[in-house]
Amino acid sequence: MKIKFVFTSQISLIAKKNDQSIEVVDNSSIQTAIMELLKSNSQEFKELILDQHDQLLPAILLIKNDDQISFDDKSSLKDGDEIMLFSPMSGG
Amino acid sequence: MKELTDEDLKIYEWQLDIPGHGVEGQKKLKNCVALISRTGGLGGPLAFQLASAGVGKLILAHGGDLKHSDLNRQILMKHDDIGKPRCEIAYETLKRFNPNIEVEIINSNISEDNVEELIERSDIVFDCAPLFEERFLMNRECVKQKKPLVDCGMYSMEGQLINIIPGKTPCLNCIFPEKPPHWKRKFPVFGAVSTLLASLGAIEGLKIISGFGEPLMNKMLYINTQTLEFKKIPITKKTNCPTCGTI
Repeated sequence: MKIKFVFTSQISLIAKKNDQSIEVVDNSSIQTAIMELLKSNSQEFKELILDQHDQLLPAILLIKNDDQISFDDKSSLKDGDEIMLFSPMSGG
Repeated sequence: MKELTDEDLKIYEWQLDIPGHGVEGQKKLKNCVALISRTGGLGGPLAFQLASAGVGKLILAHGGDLKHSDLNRQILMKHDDIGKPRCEIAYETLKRFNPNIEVEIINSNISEDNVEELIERSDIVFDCAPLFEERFLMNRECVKQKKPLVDCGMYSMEGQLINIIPGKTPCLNCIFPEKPPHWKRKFPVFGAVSTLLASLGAIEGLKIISGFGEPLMNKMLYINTQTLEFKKIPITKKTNCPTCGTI
């Protein structure tokens, strides 16, 4: 099934794109999908999202379609789900 | 409470008929003290919108002098003023535009040394700061003093907006417990994007002060101007939040 990741702020800057769709096996969890996403991105990209223990950084929000989910969410993703990786913004 | 003058009624004529606002709402704006952290790409145009709406007193806190690289977005500034303190230039621009409001400038950023006193003297706070340390500091103090905080952010073609009403909404720490570890102070942005976010932040502030409309509550507004997408993302108060968990 296909999952679309949407990147925000510094994540999209490092990824050099605003979104990426990936193929994952049916009933994959969010963790599985993120690990799959990381395979096709740089180490710098990974470090914006996960800590050294491969846990989601506290500053990053996961938005599935319109709702926030946790990195530990065990529910199965569905074909066509959109996951936003949200990194906070500031002024300047 | 200060009353509206005849000149006030003329100047604000076009906004007095906004449903739910009116003369009573305008009086609330006139009697409000708003603290704005920074006068840059977000804080500058936000302060301008509050000044144009007739918010009675603005306290602007921003240290440092104007640089060339500020001029693509810091629209209160002028090219001729490069090298001068930003808050002094902002003061001149705002007072020239609306001499009837009071503008106080603090030529330093918000820090542990001044945050308590500045928020104590304010009715509402607008967070337009670039550094997350400063943003978390204002959040902590606003929660402690139970003052509303309008949190504005931008990056590239995107923006975020959050209203923090202590006791009613999540605080900044509920949403982002820590700053992003790889954050860089310099980031891409157009002035048109910062001005858009500033206007939205000002609108939220005006609704909160005057009491009209429906301020954004328990949601974070995310804007992507690349695609003109506006999304309201539900946010949740954390009962174990170290900043607001006990209120």
